[in-house]
Amino acid sequence: MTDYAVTPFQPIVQGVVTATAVAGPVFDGEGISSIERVAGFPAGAFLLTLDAGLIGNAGAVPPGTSPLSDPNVRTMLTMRGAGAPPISNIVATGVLYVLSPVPGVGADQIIVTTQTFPLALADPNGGFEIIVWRVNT
Amino acid sequence: MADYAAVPVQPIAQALLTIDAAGNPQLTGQGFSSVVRASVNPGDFLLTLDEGTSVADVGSGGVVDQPGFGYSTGIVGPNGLDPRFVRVSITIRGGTTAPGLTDISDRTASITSVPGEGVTQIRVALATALDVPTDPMGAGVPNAHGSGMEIMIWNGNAGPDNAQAVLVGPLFQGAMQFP
Repeated sequence: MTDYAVTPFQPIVQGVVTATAVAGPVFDGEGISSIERVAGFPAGAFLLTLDAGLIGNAGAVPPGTSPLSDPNVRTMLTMRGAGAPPISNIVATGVLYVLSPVPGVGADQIIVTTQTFPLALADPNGGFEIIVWRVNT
Repeated sequence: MADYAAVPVQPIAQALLTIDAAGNPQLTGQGFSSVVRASVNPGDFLLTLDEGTSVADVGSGGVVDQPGFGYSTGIVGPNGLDPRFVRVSITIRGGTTAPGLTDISDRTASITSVPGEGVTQIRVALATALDVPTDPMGAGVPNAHGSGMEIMIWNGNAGPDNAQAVLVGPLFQGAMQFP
């Protein structure tokens, strides 16, 4: 293989999130130990907690200068549609990395937000796929 | 590991795009040499890949004049990606509106290849759900639009193109015959 890579992208999370108003969010995949709704937001906001990991292993990503500028992690979100044709009700998605209160741990939780149009928080009708990478900067 | 993959997908660049206090875009990551605004519109950025040091290095495409790899003329590289194989992921980081919302909906990547060079630049355009061009954050600070933009780029066919498997065994003994 030709060596195009400047850095390895280390996948630390992959899975599918589905959510219903009754059952709440469910994560099927690897790398996440728990998922719940963000307190105060009954739809369209999900708090994912990374696996605890081992010492020096994934489970948290190194902290950046602030939770909003963490340079060491990348996420890819793909909405799954529902119905025929399978159209998603989501038009805007955002991701935030939540810094652990324990000094030096880094971000060990991820908030994913999904909004419909007009912009309002809503659960994706077919769920969404998520992949999180740890990157070296 | 089971061999599901038709071809290897090779990461070549990743970065977090933010806006500095002067309003200029900047990248934190690897694989890009520069970023500039592509027009007067906000949210319109031109990212340039690292130039690489040889045909087998970062930012490089296929071997020059290798028939069948890229253009119909067989010319790709030495510093560009084959446009057929560029793969881009763009994610917006949530902004100041709890619990981390963004109003950016449109996230478009466009590529332009230069004959004999391939793809060396990626143009990214961001817009709100109402199609208003928008930066992914304010000048040096997060805002209601977001707190930056993550981008990752892969080469979608890093292996030999249409490689032929060499099958050797009882059913495939074309190469050697035993008594």
